[in-house]
Amino acid sequence: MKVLGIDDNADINLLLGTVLTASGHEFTSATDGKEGIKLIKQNAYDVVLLDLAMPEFSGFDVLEALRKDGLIEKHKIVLLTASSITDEEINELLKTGVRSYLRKPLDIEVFVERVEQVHRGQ
Amino acid sequence: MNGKSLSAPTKKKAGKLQRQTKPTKKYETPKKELEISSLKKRHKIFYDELPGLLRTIDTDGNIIDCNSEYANTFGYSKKELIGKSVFSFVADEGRQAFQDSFDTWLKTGRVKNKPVWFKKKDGTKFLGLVSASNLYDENGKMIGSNTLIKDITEIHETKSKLEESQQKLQDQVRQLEKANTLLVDAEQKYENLYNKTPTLLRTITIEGILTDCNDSYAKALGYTKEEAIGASIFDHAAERSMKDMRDNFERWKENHETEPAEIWLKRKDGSVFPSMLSGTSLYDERGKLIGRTLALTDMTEIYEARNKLAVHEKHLQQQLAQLQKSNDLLTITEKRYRTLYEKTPVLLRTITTEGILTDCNEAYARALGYTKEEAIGMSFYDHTAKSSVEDLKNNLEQWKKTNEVPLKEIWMKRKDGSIFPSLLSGASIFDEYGNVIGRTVALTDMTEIYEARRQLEEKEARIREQYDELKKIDTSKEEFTSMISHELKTPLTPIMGWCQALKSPKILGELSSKQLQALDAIETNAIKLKELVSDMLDAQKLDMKRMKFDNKDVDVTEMMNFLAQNLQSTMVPKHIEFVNSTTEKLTLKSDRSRLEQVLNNIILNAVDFTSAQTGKIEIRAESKDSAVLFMVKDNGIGIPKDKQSHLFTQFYQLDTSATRKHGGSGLGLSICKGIVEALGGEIWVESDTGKGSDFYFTIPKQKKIQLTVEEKTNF
Repeated sequence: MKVLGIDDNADINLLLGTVLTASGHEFTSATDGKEGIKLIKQNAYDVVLLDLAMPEFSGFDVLEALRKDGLIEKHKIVLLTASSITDEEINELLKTGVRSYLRKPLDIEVFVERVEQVHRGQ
Repeated sequence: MNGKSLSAPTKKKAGKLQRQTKPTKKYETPKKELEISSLKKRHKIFYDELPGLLRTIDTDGNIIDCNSEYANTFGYSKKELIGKSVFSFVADEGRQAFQDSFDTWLKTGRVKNKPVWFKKKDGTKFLGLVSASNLYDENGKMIGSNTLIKDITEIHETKSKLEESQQKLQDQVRQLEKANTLLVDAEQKYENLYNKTPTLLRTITIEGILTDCNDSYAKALGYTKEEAIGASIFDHAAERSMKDMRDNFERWKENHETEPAEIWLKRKDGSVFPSMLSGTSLYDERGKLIGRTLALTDMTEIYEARNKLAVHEKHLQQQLAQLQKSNDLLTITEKRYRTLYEKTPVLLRTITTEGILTDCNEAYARALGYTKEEAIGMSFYDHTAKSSVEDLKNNLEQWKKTNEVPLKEIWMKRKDGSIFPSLLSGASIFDEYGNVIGRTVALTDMTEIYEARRQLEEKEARIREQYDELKKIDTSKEEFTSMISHELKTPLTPIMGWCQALKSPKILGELSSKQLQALDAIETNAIKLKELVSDMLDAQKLDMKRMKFDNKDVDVTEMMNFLAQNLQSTMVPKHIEFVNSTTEKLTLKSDRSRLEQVLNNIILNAVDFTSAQTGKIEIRAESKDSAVLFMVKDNGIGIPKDKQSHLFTQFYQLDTSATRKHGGSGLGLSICKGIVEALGGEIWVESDTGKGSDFYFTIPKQKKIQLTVEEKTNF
């Protein structure tokens, strides 16, 4: 499974990459939204991990850009957020086609399991 | 009568008289001379002594002879008398009659038996009745007569008196007759009056029995006259007048006077009517009271009229009273109005439609610095600040159009040119035809209000500023909390994630036990940090009332079982006995995850303050009234009474070694309180030092959860 991680925190990208790689998955990372969109459009990823709180081009901006092109459904997006975003707001986002979400800090076992579930379409 | 009176004395001396008559006859046959001589002698004696006045006259009327009585009566001597004319003895008033009589005698030889007034020598007069027997010569020629004069003065007088008395008698008789006629007339009239008068008349005895009554009376009482007579007056009196009647009757019997009284009479059919009673007493010939006649005037009409009058009068009086009252009220109102106008602190002015002041009160004049006398007559524009003249003009125009004085703020100008704000309000004044002739305007000095308003505005502005500032602070606090949570959670993600990854041999290989121990310490503290951040966020949300709650079916029994199982591992290190004693089947409409959070928090607190080995924690939920009562009971160190009130406030921590060991945010119980209260329940603790702690909280079974609404403050 090919996974793209978009997070401005490189440490998190490294952690997620390490954990996913250990589970036998291929992981690519982007440290801002614009780069993430570029990669999404260039490559085909099974799951996209998207951090909402990023400076300049945030996760919301990424979603907005994807929504415009009708690509949210296609790209099995899992949101990763540490911000005090409410459940309602998340539910709204889930309605737009986002597959799942995980609040930081992550339990890495739960994380891997969730990503694999989303990939399987559960 | 004359004859009779003459013959009477003659009869008394019957013998002499008869003899007198015989010689008279002998004179008529004077042939027997011898007899004549003796006769003459006897005659002489008879002649002289004959009572009565006797004279002998010739046909010339001269006296030839007379008797003594004649001479005596007339007051002459016999000698004086012989030869005298009889006319000299006649009174003036008898002369004519005597002459006639003498003439007649001369012609016919007959003497009229007619009384003649004679005159004596002393001038006194007497009435005499003359009778005569003629003397003839031998040839039968009448040569004179013997004349007897009878003094009939007394008879005459008696007769006169008799006649007079007869006349009087006749007069009396006539008068009597007349009186009688009048009496009859009067009686007739009385009878008529009695019977025909419209006044009700009745005559009664002293026993009160009717002896008579008139037609009007009978008719008025509905009886026939025959029926009425014989009845008692009390039969004809109404019950209500019985006493008056009796009193009147008794008083009449005492003093014989009938006092006028109003008496209600009773008709045969029982109906009654008022009457006015008056009357006169009747007496017998000895002056004894035998009855009275009463006049009863039917007062029905008078009563009706009087009643009507009384009603009219009453109406009139009522109207008068009302008039008086309204007049009084008017006066009072006027006075009040005047007083109000004069004494009210509000500035009042009355103006014509042209804006000229016809009146104003002291307050007005004083406020504008004029005397009242100065102010009246001025135009109201003179009292208006330049800035408000236009407004006032519009106000006046609008008023003229609508008759209503629009409320307006007007700046007034004082005599000294200074100005002040006022609120103008007023009412139109109409003439009796309803035309507007002016208006009275109240001007409320707004200076203080303006000042107050300015101060208020200032205060408002300050408060708004403070509010904005607070809001900003709040916002920044929120932003800060939000930022903190993000900024803290972000680094926690790799820390906790790497700890986990390191502990997993298949990711980064095996670690030594010492390395694992160090890694555990890092991870434990990272978790605490994570919890701290969560608590901060929850506390923030509760403060801002931004925490959102579910309102779904919660299976309380199942939840308690889940918690008992889930937290069992937590009890293992300290070997605490952990029991769920919930027996009831309970359900709620609430937010399960928040309820779990509260229970978790209290249970973990209990774990911290309960001794190892001997510690015991019991949890239970039970139905209590319309709520579910949750209980977390431990046999730990307990909480001193004086500290319990602060237990649920933010950042309050008991200063104990256990606390220091436990650490924590100090927000746990305050968050519990916030959540319970937000869910409509209550939370409290029952505890004391060394006696363990019992935490309770209730959640209503059916509570419409308050939807969080952002606080709105509008100034």
